[in-house]
Amino acid sequence: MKKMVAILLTLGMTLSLLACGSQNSPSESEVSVENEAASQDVSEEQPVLAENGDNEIVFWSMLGGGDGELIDSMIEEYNALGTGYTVRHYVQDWGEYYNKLTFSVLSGEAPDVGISHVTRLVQLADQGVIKPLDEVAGSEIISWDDFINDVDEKAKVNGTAYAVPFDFHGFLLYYNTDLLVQAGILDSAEEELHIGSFEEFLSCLQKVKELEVNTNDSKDDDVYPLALQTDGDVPYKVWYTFYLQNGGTPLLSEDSSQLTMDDAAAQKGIEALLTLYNEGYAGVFNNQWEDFKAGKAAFIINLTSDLYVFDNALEGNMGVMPMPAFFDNSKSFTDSHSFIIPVKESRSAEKEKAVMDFVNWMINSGKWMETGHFPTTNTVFESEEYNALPYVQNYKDAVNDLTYMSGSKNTWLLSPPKTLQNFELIYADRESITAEDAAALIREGLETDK
Amino acid sequence: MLNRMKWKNVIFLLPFIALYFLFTIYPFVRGIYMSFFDWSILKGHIYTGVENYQRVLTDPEFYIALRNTVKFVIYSTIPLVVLGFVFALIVNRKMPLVGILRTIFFIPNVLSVSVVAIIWSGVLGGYGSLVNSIIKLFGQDTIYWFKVESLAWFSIVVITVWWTVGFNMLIFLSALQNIPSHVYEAAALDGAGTVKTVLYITFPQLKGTFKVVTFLQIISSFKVFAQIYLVTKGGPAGSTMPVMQYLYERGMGSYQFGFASAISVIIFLILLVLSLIDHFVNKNKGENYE
Repeated sequence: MKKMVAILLTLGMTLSLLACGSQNSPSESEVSVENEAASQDVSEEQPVLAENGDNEIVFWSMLGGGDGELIDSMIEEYNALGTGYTVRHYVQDWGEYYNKLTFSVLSGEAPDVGISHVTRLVQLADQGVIKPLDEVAGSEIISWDDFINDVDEKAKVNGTAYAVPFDFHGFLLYYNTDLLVQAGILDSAEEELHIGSFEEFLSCLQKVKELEVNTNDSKDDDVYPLALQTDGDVPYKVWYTFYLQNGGTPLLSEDSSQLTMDDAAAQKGIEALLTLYNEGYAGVFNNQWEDFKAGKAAFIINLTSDLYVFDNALEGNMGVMPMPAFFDNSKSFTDSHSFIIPVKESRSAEKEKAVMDFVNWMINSGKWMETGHFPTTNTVFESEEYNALPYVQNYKDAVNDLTYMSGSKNTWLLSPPKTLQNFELIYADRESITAEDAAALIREGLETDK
Repeated sequence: MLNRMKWKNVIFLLPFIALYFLFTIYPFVRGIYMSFFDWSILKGHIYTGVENYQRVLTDPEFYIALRNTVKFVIYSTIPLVVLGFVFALIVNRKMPLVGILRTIFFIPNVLSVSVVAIIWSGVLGGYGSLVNSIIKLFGQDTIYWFKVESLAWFSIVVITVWWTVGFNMLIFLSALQNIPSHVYEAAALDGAGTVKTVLYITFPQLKGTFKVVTFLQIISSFKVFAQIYLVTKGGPAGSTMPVMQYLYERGMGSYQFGFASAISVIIFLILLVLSLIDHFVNKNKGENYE
């Protein structure tokens, strides 16, 4: 009898163990510290995918925080139109977004529509994660002629459209009007800043460096000229902008098999970046966003996405201008969020049409531009609503100078691990390294990563 | 009778065997199989023979990651074994509040690695971290613990020791409590003080335990990944990237699953060799108290 009880207990415990085991995925909890709190909130709210009804469009993005709230309010507006379909937005953890997207396709549980960076499309298409739009029912709903600067061409892989561009988020030059007035660069906070060359920019930085406020004993209390990360992907993207402005060609060939970096432009670009570090204009190991928001830095080169974040933090003491023509032109780095249709066999043509209706509505609603991003359609670009947004008139023309990085099958060229490592090496060796050696390190990194 | 006993044993072992097979043996065999393919998760697989292995063994990044891992093994094993032993000695004494002390030494061990990483990012971190706020009070400038190679290693070792030393302490503590009290009593009668007792009684009696703990620690340190990945991301400039991160990035970063499987098989072989050395060195694990 006792043995029977023991056996029954063992079986009971085993079953409960198996039941518990299926609820938790240890790998998920251990992967990312960043955004962990955010992703936990999300997972609590999210219903199981199996509950996805036929009249429900599942939409995945990596857009959390303020961006996520804005998207949610747009979706609420769309759902209120009564199209017969309800869109549900699931925010995925940024760091794991593309992995989750890929594995969702593998498991047949892919969302109906997702967001991808345009520079990532080559990889996603090559891996078979996303559907070519000519195979998606209803893609003709999109007014392909309405896109600014033929951005839809950038969303093509080998001539086939794979995505519908939603925005441009490119580099702008932001400044703290208070500090610029103190340094004598601007006469008043209302005056607009004009910078016509790199030398002019350096002289502005020098004036901030010489501010009397910088006489404290501790460096931590100093105000410094330019908030510029010394690690991560920012130095690489700033270098890329300088590279483009010195006549730099696309980094990779069309089929992404060959490195086509222009060494001369790469050297000029890295020389400019090293000047910013070596002249003491950029802080050491700073957090550029926090420092600029705290009023500790006079300038920052940053994406459009933080426009209103900075504006709120500096309480109106912020100014913004397009990326100046530091060198031969005023090109600057950009990327785009775009709508993609992940591969899913069980999705009906009717639902695909509903998805494309939703996408079409989103790209033509100006609301997303409240983030500071540039619109991708002429309809929004010329709309009163967009043109009335604060600061837009200061920088909207920069849309013509925005330039993408190449796409690659193997790596997302926006965060190439070996290249970013080499940028850290260049920074560590910044005082003695030659532009030639630094460009060779960039070449070596990109050659490994591409 | 014997047959019935055996069946009972099998029933008790079944849950473990089933889970072990499903989550360890099957992925292991599958991993070896995958290592001979150019393995795409959505678009089928191409047999490539030993090409993946050739690529790993000729990739300088692999050797850099391996060198970093060996560095971590050396930097972490010594403090983890020595401090584990010292803490065990402290909490083995009969004194007030010893239970609380044991809990304090052991409790970080129950935290998940992401919690540990969040705590230490706040403690060390950059501008505005706990330590930097304190040193700022003394008029010093921010120290960037995770951005300079030597400081990054120091931080990782401190974090790892704080997090895992409790486990080694527990092994030493149980070994210490296995030493019969009459051996100490005899030593005390002969006039041995604390230092002499530790040196001539405790230490020799724990020789076997030291060997076991050291080898277990080497193997565990060799598998380091999460705390480094979460705190320094292998930086600055890849100088703290361990071989497990190299594997993770090739697998999950660029979806080269065949290549990543080949890396994991090579790491397995290295760990197998270490385990075999451990097996032969620790053949006679039993302590001799008589």
